[in-house]
Amino acid sequence: MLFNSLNFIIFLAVVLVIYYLLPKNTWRKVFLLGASYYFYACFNVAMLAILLFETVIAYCYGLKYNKSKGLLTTIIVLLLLPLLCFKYLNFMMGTVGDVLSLANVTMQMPSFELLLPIGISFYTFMAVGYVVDVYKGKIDAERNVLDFALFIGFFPQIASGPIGRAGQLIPQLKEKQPLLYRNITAGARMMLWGFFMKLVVGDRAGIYVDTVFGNYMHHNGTSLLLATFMYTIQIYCDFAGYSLIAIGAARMMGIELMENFRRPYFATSVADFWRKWHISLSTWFRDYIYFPCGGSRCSTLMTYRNLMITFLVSGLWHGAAYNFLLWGGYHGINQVLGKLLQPAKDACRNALHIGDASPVRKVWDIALTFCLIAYGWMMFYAPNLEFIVDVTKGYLHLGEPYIHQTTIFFFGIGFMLLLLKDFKDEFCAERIALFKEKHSMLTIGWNYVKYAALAILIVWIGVLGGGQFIYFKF
Amino acid sequence: MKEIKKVALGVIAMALLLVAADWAVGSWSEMMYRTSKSGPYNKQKYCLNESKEDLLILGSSRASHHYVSKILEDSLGMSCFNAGSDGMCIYYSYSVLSSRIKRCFVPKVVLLEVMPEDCKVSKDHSFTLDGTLEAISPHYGEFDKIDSLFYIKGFLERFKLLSKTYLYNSKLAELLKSHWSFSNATKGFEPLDGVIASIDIPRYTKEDKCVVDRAKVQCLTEFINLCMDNDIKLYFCYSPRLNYKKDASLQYLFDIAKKYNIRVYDYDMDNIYIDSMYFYDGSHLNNLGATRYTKEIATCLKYDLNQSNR
Repeated sequence: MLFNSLNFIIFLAVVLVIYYLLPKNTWRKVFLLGASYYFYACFNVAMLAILLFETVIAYCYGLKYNKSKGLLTTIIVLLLLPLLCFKYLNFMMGTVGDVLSLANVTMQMPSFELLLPIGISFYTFMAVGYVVDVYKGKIDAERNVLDFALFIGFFPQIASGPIGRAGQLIPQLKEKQPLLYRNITAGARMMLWGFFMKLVVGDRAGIYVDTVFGNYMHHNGTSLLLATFMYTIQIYCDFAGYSLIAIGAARMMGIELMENFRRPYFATSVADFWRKWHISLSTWFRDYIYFPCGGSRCSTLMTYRNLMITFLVSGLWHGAAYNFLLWGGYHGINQVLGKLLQPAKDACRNALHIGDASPVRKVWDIALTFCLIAYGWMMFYAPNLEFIVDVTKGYLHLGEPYIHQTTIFFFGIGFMLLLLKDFKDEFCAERIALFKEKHSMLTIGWNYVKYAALAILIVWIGVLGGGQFIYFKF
Repeated sequence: MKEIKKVALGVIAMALLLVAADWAVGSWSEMMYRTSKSGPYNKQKYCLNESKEDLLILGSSRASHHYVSKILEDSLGMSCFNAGSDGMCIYYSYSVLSSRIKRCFVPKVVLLEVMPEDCKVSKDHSFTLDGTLEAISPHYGEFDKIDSLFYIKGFLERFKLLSKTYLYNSKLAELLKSHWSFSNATKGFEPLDGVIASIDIPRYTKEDKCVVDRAKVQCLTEFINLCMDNDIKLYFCYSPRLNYKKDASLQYLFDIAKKYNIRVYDYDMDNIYIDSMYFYDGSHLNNLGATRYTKEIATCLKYDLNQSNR
């Protein structure tokens, strides 16, 4: 059951009605857990066993935990085991084979046809995060199995996050959430915008991207650049759209999930980008990999090493392939270079009398960061390393771009609206909040009209084929 | 209680607004569709609601670009319309034919330009049921047999079809174009001008294995039955392609034709058409090729029709 399907809308509506009709919070939680497992089983019933395995292991650790590092390590290995088997086994075998072939040893490595369970990377990280937090004493171990199972399996976030933290989510699950108008409207608004991003902008861009990148040898540099730009927008709209639908669905039940995207393409540096992109994952890596490695509280060289480790792991988390590793490394190097070049950049700006608040500086930084990120997304898309090399070379051969009129027309409409909204939220949020305060009645009426129009626009120009979300692969 | 009332009022207000907006946008789109002056929607509208010709050509872009209606009309002495449409497969042909029968304008002869995608699973959106339904959705509710195609997609599809805007999903660009662009089509035939560049000439390509799409085969069978029940003379054609090898799915179609005693005009490996001057691209004849090919088909068809009339 995909978020971008009518089945999900009906499912959510039924869940919401029953959820708010149930008088006791325990009943609500039992119902929500059942609904969540049903939602997950819709993808593949057998994979429910892995979700239950993760839940049981992490829960049992909470019951029996002590300060033994050995036990912690064992539990983490156990939790990571399904992820390693389903996602990385073939990659590891392939890598061993590649290394052996470098040493002139020919060996046929076995390859397994394994179906990657939806959301495994997300709920595994939630379970690992919980176990580590309990070990470090940041949170108390959860004794209520219902609360814990719901924390891991809560349906809005199970397939692609946000990667929730126990300390933030479990207390909310314990409280009975009242039916509030503001929660329903805020949730519905988020979901609607999420659908817009996914169906109107993301999926539309995907048509052009797949056409050009799918046949990249026959397209000139201009088309490749346009496809790279559109993929950059597509992946943002696809994933941020998914996150908004997830956060909105939870919000309608009175539960606030972690914000996952904060207009990342207005970032002024690659480091800034990672503070705005997939926030729940970035902070997870920061807390459970970067900080334990020493973070930035060590020598400069060690800080750079920690950054590289974190981003290489992040690359691998996204997929078991060399291009993801390369993508992670690329982001790590960008961060390191960003830090190294900072003094030179500052000196340059001083010489040109460009102040910190200068709009020229801001626009330049945003544009440069966008280009760096966009090139990274091309690597992310790449099915093999040859693709990266060929497309990079191809960028240089400019010419008349391939234009699919209908696709570009619909994408253009969606992209302009997206740009307008993100620009407004990034740069004019305070002024608009003040205006809304002054004219609250007008705002309510305007909101209804605006969101009805948005809903109809989605039906009118969106891609309604029920396409998969990109991050489901991870 | 106050909150429940607020939520209920909000839901009702939103529902009313949605219904109004859906009606407004859907009605405007419908008006644009009904008044389109050129392009695929104008042709589709004509095929489904107005066409009365005796000879009907059905199929995909290979039909619309390969059969010169005027030549067939002059040779056979019967009115002809080329209803072929880009990216369409047997579902679309079935829709057009059933609409003609429903309107009591039964064609005397049907030429079906077959292709492997009429019986095998298609990898992309073209040549699928979804592709056809997306195209013919403005005609939902007009013909029972067309509606039955929508119901294949399940119960929820009926629910979606309640929205007037949904019927015109992703059609805005083409609707706008259909009012301001010019089409050089004559009686449905859409000539292609230009010759394939030598660099684009395909090598002999081996097509994919035949993975039969049962639903398509069923639709094709129903299509044949429609013709038989209404005394329509049905012919299968396979027009020339450049450097393609015949694949198993095409043979599957020819076997079906044999089973129902349908005459097949197979020009796939015709030696005349190995010359790239007749081609616009690997799969499509240009105007020159189409003219020559149609003349040949017209001769064969004339002979066969005369034989069958004796």
